[in-house]
Amino acid sequence: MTPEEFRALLNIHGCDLTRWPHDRRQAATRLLETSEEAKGAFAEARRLDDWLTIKEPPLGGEARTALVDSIMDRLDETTPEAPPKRERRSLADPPATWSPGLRRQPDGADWHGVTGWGPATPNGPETASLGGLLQARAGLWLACLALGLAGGYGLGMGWTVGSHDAAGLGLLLTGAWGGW
Amino acid sequence: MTGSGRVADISGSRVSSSWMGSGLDSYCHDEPRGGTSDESLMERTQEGDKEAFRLLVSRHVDRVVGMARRIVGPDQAEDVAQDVFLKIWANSRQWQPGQARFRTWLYRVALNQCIDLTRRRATVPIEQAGELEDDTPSPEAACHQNQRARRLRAAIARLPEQQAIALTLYYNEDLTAGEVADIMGLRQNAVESLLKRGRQKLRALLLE
Repeated sequence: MTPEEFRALLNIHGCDLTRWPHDRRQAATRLLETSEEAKGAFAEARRLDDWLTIKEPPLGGEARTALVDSIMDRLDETTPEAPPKRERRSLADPPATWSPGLRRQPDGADWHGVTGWGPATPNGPETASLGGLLQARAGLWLACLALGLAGGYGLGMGWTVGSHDAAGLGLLLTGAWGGW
Repeated sequence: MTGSGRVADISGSRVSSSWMGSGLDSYCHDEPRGGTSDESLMERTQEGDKEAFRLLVSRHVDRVVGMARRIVGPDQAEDVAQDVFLKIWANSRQWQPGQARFRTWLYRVALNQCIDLTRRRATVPIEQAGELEDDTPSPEAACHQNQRARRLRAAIARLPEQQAIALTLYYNEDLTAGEVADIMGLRQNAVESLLKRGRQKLRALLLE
């Protein structure tokens, strides 16, 4: 292990070598025994670890009991929900809601995500249904495309213009019909 | 704090085998050896057993409050804990044994509750926002460790949200980078990057 690699791992995992990747621990220990540079970096990192490993103090006895009691007292305010049915979606279903940064997981807990793709939150605002919209639009568009191609080529056979032109016209018409 | 929150998939499909059997088991120091596991208490909770749920709450309330203190601050940490456990109760039937460990689920619910709160707070008009935490020692800070915890909390509050969360889960909750990645719904190398950048910023805030 080089001192650079040692420092890089130290900057991620801190001074507790038992938390380092298993296959790097021995090499790190060996380097620490021989390298003054590694020892210096380790001592510096330890100062920060001394801060980071400070634990939050536990609740005091009375505060803890009061909090637990308060939670238990409020249980009747909430009704356990049945697990959601996992059914196949169809085009007739309301579309999923796209809400950036927030999505509800199948277990009912609120999860946040970068993409935000997910079903609508029950109490959330009606947001743009981009996910469902795209799914529905894609199906509709493909159907229109097939019809347009078939119609365009069929018409093209009887027209003086080339069949490719007619197919292009068909695509334009179906595109307009599909709302694109 | 800024930054976007993250998703975790409750299916636990990305849970690496390296921690499935050991990491969180050893973390749960409140659970007596040979005692009732979280999972079996959760199964009883699903049947409406309030005593089983009380045991779960008692076992994990400090953990949730501690995490919330780091992420949303001490003033609202207990409110967050209440909401987290009420959500766990309300959605208990949706937890499925074998899909995710109870503690992973708990951390995810707690984490998202914290993120919800920080985002709501971020949208509060400045005139309605509460006072910033000052340096006046509170009764809690009488103890030296509490003072240090308070200073660390204040420094973490100045980090981007995801860095603060990663550092809190890794150091305060003693989770591995893999576990943190699973809870945050990130790849492990992304978590390692958050830890590295978070440490760099904290070093500047606390040591320089």
